[in-house]
Amino acid sequence: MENPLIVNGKRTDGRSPTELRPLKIDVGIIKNAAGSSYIEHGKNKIIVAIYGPRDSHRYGMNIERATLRCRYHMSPFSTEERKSPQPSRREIEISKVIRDALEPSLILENFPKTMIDVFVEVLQSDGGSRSASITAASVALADAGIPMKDLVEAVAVGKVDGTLVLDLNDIEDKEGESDMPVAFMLNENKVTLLQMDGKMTVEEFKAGLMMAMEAAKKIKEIQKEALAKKYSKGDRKNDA
Amino acid sequence: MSKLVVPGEVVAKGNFRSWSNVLKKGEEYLSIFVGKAEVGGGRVRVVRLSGPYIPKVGDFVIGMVTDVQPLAATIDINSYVNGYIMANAFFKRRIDPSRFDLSKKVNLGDLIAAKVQRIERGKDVYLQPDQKWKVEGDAVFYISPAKAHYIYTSRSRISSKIKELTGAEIRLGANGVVVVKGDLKKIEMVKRALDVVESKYDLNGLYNEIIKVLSKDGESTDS
Repeated sequence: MENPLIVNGKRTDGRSPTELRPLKIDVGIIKNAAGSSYIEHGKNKIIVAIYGPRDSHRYGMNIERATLRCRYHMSPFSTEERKSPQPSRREIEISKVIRDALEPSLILENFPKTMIDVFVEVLQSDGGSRSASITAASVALADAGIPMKDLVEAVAVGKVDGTLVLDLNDIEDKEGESDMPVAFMLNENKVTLLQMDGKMTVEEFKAGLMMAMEAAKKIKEIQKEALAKKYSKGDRKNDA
Repeated sequence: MSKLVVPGEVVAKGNFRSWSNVLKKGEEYLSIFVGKAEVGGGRVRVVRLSGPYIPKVGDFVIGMVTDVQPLAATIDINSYVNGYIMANAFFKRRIDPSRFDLSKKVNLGDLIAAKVQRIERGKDVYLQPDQKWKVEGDAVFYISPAKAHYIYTSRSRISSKIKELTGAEIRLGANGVVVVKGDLKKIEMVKRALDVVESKYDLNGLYNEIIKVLSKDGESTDS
């Protein structure tokens, strides 16, 4: 192995294999949106804004419930090399993945024939941005007052240098052996997203899933704290 | 005493006669909104603290005319759906559109007070104009519809106190639209009171807080 990513049980950023990166969530940061949030997950910096529900007459609208649309976008300055602002294939895929991960948690039947837009703007990217986006978007949807069965929290697990690791950063994501982002609705005991790049054995997969679930519990507490912080001291949105 | 809850959080366990804004899962009642949980008297409910105005039959709303057609006017009711007032509701009888012109009755931009009469297919909201349907005022404020119920209900001590202390003429809609008639001083006082409503998440102490803010206002402007 040329450059090991785990040395003496420590990863490139000094974390242990089962440690989350520092996570911070702020709620209600955008005045014009129905709901919004800002997340810093490691070096990831992401803003999420929710618009809607709003009346929509688009062809093909679901007349029984609201239609959820999601746009995940990486700013040109979010990566080391300038990224073209045009939506890439990857961004289109992640937009769909985020939508699919959030949809089971929402009670969309309350708003028939309407549209809810989720805008995700990545300001700085450091691996695991889809997981961080899901975590932040769920909080922003709660802030927008969209009825939800549960909050959704997401985190990635993977295999680096033959070791299972939690919450992969950019280098681990690119050079590790596998990467598996998972999203949970913990109260419902449901997995709303599970993707995997690379290979894992069945035992590794099971252990990884448990590791992600434990981390999701911690993330959920941070989501709750962020919402409580905004609402317990009062919504100052109109003062901005 | 109310407690702040988030979606998916257990509000109460057991059997309750009625519940609102919660999901019943076995014996557990889970919140579906960010809100304050109120449990007691055989009832469990979550008063939501954010979100759009969800029309309910019987609600009194204030909206703005955004379109006038021969048979109906479209009203923006500060919600994810529009309200409609049929022409015959204004004229109080069936009308012949070739002889009656609705645009002589209402114009674009007019503020209208109306009651939600019926909701069809979950999103077509039909309104019945109030007896004094034309709303005239010097200022229009929008407060979060989720918080409008603090001051909207006719029994609300808070709305009576705001009217009493400011001396302004105020019309409130369940959709969070507040129309104020009065001089600049009165309007500013109402705005301060509404800011307090908007900034407090808990009803406890809100009444006294508003009295405190408006009393200070009165003192500072008198001196």
